[in-house]
Amino acid sequence: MANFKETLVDGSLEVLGKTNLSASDVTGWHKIEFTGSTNNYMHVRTPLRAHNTHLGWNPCILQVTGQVGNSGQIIHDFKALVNVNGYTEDDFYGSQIPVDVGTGSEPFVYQSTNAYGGYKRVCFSVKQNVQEQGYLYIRWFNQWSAINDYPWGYNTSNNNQGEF
Amino acid sequence: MAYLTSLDTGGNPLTANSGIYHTGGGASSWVRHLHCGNARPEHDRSENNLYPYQGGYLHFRTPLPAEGSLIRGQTFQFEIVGFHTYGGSYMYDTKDILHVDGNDVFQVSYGSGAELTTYGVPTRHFYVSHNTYGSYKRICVAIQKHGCCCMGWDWMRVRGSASLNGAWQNYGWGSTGGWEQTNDPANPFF
Repeated sequence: MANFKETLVDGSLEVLGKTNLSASDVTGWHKIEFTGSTNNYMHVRTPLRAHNTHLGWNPCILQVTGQVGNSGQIIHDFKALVNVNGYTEDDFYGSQIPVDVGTGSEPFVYQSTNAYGGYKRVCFSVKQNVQEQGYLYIRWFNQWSAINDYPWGYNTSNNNQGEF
Repeated sequence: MAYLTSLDTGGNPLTANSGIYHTGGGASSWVRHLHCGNARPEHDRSENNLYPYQGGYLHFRTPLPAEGSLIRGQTFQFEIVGFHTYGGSYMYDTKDILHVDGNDVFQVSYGSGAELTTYGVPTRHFYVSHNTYGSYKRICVAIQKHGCCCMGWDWMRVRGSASLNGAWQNYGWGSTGGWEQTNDPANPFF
């Protein structure tokens, strides 16, 4: 790994992976490209643990933006505060979404039912009942290194929770 | 300092342990602050009978000068994202437009955001420091917090011209807490 102490790029900087800001503690954007379906909801399982080890008394802001449909029939743009009650290792508080300026998005944040890599994960669903192309861009503030903790997952269903 | 005409990381991630300053794109890196500010012992506690943790506002002194050639004539966007308390009693998601005119007069156009959860809409207030730091008065902002020293983080950044990115690193940050949101010259925060 190249390790630069201070670097000036006098031109464009192209990163085909993610650009993670460790000092600011903000992850790079993670992009999911998908072809919609007639199922009502798109579900995403993030690498973030819905568990004390990532979130106990230490909330993250999960930010999601994106769209579905060739004419942007549904637009996603929300910020959720995800938290775990530090007294109990996976007592998750997920669906606190104080910022939702999307259109027809219906975001819902939940904890996976199953464990992945030994931990339940932070998941969310958004409306997507259009059988056309769509994109989701996801990042979070706080706990940036969690983005490498486990692979992402996504799926569709007619329910807005309980997919993973 | 490494000086590259281009950098391609292939499929690998780029991790910046300090900041990334998009001088071409005009956006600063995010700066993160822990969210706790106590009442001021010399004023708030005696005047308002407060406990230390009951400061109602968190005051930040930014590195941005409010006067001088680095900032004069500049218009830029100041963005705040964050929360206060474990349950997100207050949540911040704001973009405001700041301007220092040709006579070093500071102006604010409050824009979008100030999102709410349990305790209503948190307000923010920009002002110019009463004192000078590094020979310049500095742009400061006070944001509303819950009356406890609970968990909370704020991330701040600016979007502006290339010279503004220099201003973003022009001086150290300062923070304190207090009962008042405005900066009384008789008893200034900064």
